[in-house]
Amino acid sequence: MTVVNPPEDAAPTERPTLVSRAVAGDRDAFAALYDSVHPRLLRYAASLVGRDAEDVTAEAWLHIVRDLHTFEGDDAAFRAWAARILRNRAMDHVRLRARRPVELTDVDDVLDAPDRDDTESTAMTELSTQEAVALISSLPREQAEAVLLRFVLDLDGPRAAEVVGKNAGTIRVATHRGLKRLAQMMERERGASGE
Amino acid sequence: MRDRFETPADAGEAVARLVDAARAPGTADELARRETVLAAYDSMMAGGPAPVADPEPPARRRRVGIFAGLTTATVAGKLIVGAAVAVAAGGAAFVAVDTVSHPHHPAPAPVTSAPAIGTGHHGPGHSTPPSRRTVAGSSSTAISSGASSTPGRPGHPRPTPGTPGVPIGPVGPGSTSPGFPGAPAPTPPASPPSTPSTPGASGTAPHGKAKGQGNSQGNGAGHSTGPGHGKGSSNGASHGNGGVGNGNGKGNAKHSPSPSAPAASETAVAGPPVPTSAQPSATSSKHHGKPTTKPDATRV
Repeated sequence: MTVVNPPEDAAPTERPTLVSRAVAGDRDAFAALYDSVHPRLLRYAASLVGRDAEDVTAEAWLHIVRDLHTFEGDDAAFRAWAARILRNRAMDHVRLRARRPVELTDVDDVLDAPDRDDTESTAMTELSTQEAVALISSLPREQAEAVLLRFVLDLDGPRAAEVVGKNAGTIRVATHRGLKRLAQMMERERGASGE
Repeated sequence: MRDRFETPADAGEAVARLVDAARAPGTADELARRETVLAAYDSMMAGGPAPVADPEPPARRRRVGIFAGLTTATVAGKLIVGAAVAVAAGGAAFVAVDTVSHPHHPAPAPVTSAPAIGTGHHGPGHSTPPSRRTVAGSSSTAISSGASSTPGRPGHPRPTPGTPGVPIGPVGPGSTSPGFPGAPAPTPPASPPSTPSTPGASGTAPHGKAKGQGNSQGNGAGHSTGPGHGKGSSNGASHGNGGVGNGNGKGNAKHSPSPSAPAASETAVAGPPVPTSAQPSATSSKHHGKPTTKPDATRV
């Protein structure tokens, strides 16, 4: 059994130094920071905007770079700050996309796309990162955000609540419901597979 | 399975594996834009421009712009179409008018210059018989070209500048400079000429001296008796004949408008009346003694 206990185990001592060095102008430190944080931001963005996650995340990084000299804090604070910027960009993107005409999708693509049960079975058998993120993103948005912020971006309850603009209790409840729902989905898939 | 799921492990191994998969390190595809972000970081650190591109304008602004553009285009199109229709109508009217010629009434002369008509106000219904006799030709060409030799109307007069405003300011302090000197007082009217004095009775005067002023006129003769002794003098330019007496009277009277002292006859006693001037004699008593004659006594 893999035990994940964020955010305690995801805060190496050198990360605050990495952030401070990046703020001071150390390009290598910033590159290492990007390599560490960007995949998590990208997966969080995937739960918010879907296929436009890369564009939104790239735009968020440009904002991060622009305002990096104003940042003060440790590694966890940087991740929370970056997640907040990403979420703001994602919300803007969602609003803009809502005003645009609906993109029509080919019927064949819809027929070939796996449904939720297929995704769950795939997650059980061959669990890739994208599939795991897709499964988490299938949760209600509040629960999916709570799970991703807490266990993918390694933010504690108060920081995750700060990102979404809610209190820590709401995040805690949403995390509980999201994990419970994921467990139910896994159990249902396990029963469907004959175990 | 626990009642409270605070960690993925609480939800079971499957959920823990799911979350582990979601936490995997980034792949090469995920880090494809790494160099772009690093370039933006280098630019920012070098003091370059902000790497953030301008966001896409909101849809509302785009819609407003589109509507504004459509409105402008519609209005412009209507204006263009209206002008074209007007010009075409005017041209057609003139062409129709000019091309109609009467066989029995040849046109007197071809119109070489067209009136300044091109706005299409005159349609076919406004044609007049003389115009129907005109011959098509240069006139229609001139009309269609729109050229006009008629000078334009004079322009509107330029607006006249406004009247300057009336400055309204606080009341200033009073002047500290002294005022101008007053006008000279009007001269008193000249005294009327004195009437001739009638001889009067000589008076008796004790010792004394008299000095008077006034106008005296007239002749008088008198005789005074008495122990009086006096001395009189008169200031002024008038002279008269004073009374003659024993006293030392001396009086002068002469026609003169200037003030003169009356003839003082201090010592004259019972002399004839001495003509005196009309003005009162300012008697004074320089010396001891009373004036021999009161001013009233010597006047008329």
